[in-house]
Amino acid sequence: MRLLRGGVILAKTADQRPELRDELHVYDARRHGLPDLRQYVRDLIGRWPFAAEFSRSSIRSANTDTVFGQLWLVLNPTLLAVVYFILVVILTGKKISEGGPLLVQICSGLFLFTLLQGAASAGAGSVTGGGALISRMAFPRLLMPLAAVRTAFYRFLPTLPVFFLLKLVFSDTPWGWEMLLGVYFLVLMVIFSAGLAAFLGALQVYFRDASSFLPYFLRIWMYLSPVLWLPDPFMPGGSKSELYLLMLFNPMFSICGGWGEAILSSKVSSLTFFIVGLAWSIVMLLVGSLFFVARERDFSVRI
Amino acid sequence: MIFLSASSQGKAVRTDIPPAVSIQDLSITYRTTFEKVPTLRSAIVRLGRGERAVRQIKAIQNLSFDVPVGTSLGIIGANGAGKSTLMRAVAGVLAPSSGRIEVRGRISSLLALGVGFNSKLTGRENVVLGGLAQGMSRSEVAERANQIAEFADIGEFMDMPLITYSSGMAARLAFSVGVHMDPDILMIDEALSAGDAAFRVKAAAKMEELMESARAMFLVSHSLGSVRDMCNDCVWLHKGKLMLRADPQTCIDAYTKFLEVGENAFTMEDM
Ligand SMILES: Nc1ncnc2c1ncn2[C@@H]1O[C@H](COP(=O)(O)OP(=O)(O)OP(=O)(O)O)[C@@H](O)[C@H]1O
Ligand SMILES: [Mg+2]
Repeated sequence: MRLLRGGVILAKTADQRPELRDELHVYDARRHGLPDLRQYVRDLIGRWPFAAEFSRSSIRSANTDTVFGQLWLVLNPTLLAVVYFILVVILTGKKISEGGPLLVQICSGLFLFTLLQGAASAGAGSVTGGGALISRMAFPRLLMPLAAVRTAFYRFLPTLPVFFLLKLVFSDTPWGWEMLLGVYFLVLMVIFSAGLAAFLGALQVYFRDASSFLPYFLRIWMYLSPVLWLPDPFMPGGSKSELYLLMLFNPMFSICGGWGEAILSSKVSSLTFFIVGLAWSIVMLLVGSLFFVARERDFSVRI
Repeated sequence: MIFLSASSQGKAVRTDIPPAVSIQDLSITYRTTFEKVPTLRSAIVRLGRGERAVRQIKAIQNLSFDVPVGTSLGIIGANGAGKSTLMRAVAGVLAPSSGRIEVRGRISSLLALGVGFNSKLTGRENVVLGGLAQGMSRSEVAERANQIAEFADIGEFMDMPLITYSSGMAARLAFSVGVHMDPDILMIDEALSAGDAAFRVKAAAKMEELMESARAMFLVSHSLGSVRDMCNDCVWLHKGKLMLRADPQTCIDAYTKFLEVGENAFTMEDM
């Protein structure tokens, strides 16, 4: 039951009377700067049930736990995939009748990217939309964006079987153990999303219109990432390999690329994807969460 | 007048051990922007004009006092005096702008669940969320939620969305939550005002019971009668400054004189 704002000292008083058993909370004027991180993480883990319940209740209040709610969760990205499919078909002049594999390919990337989009946009509003929770309760604020990521993840899950079904029906791409490597890239995506959600959540406190730029930003990011297209031409030996190094600056090039190669083509992607993707995820997580934690004491006087 | 018996005053104030709460030269400044919401667009516009964005509201200024174990402290003062701000700072929600607060013990604050977190969720779901946020375990919370439902006595509304509550029902729920969180230090910010007479009797009894085990209690109220009956110590705040720290009767007298209304019947009944 330790609070973090200002740091906490566990005072083991010499006096053993039961009423003095408790800890001493000190709240001082340090407004910015990092708290004791080990303590923070311990507290974060200790209160994770809150984030889980918060996320669960937001899923519940959005009715996504009903049959039609679940159906919509699946239908929405699938319809979006169809829209992009038509777009790509028109732009590249392919025949719709031969487009089955293309649709499956688009779904594989789009469903994963929807996870990032969901986490980013919900995470951005998680602090400013936290209302009474933020202004009245003391708990590690990082739980708010993390709850948003959890929600996005649980919205992503039901789209997986849809993808596998589409792959089974429309695509002749192989199935193999290599598909399990997708789990690695999914984990990277979740870590990256957590960092991004925390960063945007803190940013939104200072700039409330940040979230209105966000959809455009995310849309452009998607076009620049191997979501609708495959990374192959940009890889060494490909037709546009001169852009390879540049592409690696986009975290999603490695993460979405590795995901697609694993889950769609069932192949082991280049080691670069594994390493660069991991590096980006960790950097984003550290930057986002440290920025957030250093600022979070300031949130309640600004909301 | 409902809180006739004042047994909470019977509990000894302990000055031989460290105080439950110690407030040391505390100042709290809210920083709000002139704009309704701070935006990137307006920040850029402002940068172009070279204006300053923030406006500071000094809600608490250089406040110092100790609250010894065994105290039930009444906090009175006009609207905007900084009472709620002080409570939020002691609860650890607001960071001090300068100065320092030391709290010994576990805090349960009625500001915590004042009106709930999400009005689309049911009372029970809000209670569970609040308990988990305070660091309770899931099983503790589930068990507590039943006790809370029973004490609040709002029947089937416990499992209805919060929007369907009357303000009195919300207040009953909020009070029940606060007193069932095993607080060492109980803080009540104007939570009794909306309950009906029957509930207030029950609430007063519960608070007296709690004072036996709690280390300290803070009661913020505009109903001077309940402050007089329930508290054994009192502070009067005005515009963020400490005006008087004395026994409740002295404080109330000074405050009411200050307000130039006198202790008229309305204030007494309004509790
Ligand atoms: N979130 C906020 N942002 C900016 N200023 C605030 C905020 N909350 C309170 N204030 C200001 O701080 C001062 C103290 O407010 P506070 O709510 O503590 O008063 P109070 O004593 O609780 O009043 P009341 O009796 O009406 O409840 C007021 O001047 C108020 O305008
Ligand atoms: Mg108030």
